[in-house]
Amino acid sequence: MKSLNQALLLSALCGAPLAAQAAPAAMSVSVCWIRALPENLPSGGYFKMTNSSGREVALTGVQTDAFGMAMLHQTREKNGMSTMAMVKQVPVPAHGTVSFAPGGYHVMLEKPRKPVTPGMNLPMTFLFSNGQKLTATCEVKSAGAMSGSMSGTISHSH
Amino acid sequence: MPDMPWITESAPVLPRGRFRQRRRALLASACAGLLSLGLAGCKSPPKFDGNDITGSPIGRDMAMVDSGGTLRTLADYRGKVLVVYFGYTHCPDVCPTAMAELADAMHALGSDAKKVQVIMITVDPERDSGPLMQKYAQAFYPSFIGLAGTAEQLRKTARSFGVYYAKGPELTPGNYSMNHSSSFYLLDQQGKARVLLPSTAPAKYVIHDIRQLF
Repeated sequence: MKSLNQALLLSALCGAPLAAQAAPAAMSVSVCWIRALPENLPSGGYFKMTNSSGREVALTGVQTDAFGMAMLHQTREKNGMSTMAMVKQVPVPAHGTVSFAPGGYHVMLEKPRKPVTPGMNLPMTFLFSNGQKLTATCEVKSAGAMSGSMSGTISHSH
Repeated sequence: MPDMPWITESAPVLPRGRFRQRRRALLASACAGLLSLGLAGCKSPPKFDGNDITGSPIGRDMAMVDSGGTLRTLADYRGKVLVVYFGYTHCPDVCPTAMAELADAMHALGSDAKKVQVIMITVDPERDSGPLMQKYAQAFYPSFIGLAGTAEQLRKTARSFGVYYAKGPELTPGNYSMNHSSSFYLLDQQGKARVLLPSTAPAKYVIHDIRQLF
């Protein structure tokens, strides 16, 4: 009896991720990069999200083992004044894209576990409101790297 | 004052500096005045893409310390076009973006880059020392200078530039952010204030205005 319960539990546990994989993934993440700053200072992570589904999906969080802290932030500029604000989630419209790019949305990355230097590739996991979870590789670029906006990450919704 | 139109992330079409039209009108009336006095020719002063602040005392009383602890004033940088930016090192996005843009401008200026001195001044004297500021600024471009100072030195220098700064909320435990003016101040080779640009202005406008001061 005990073993039957275990088998049921096992199948339930395995079944869930299988079901999730069966559906086409709504969200994808591309051109992820992180700015290297000296002295383990807090830095920014940038990327482009594409929603290929017919429903709005929100980014709800980011996880990475490379940093002690990763939070969704937004730089807000008004009247020449810059402020930083935390954001709980960032919606990506149906069949649309949203870019995290310098001067706007960014992942604030703090307390790197190892010094972050240009050329490194660090994994970052993205959590979405539809339950999807995906991991992308983010390239560490030099401090002086310009925004993704220079390299074609400006995106359009349809 | 409305938001700068060019900061919207998804707007690839960038307007020509809106300050420019106002300036043109002023220039036109100035020239008309001179012509009416019978003066031939009106040599037009530089046309900046940013806000022309010529004649203002902005930045005059700058006095902050460098990585070696030496007090630096505008007199130390005579002969260079100065680009001054206020920021802080625990700033994950807007400050590095502004500094990277200035580094980009330096690369675009090529051999003329040596006529320009970029100075970043911290608005966070609690955490930013002279050596840290120098290391930070240099990470973007080798000739960049970072300056720090005491809270009092910053207060006076920021007042001279009309820069606002204040501690913001703690975004993560123990790590507060700073709210601050995010602008580029261009001073000419005599240390006179000339142009004010939002740090979000496209690099080509910054480069254009720097070139007007050579």
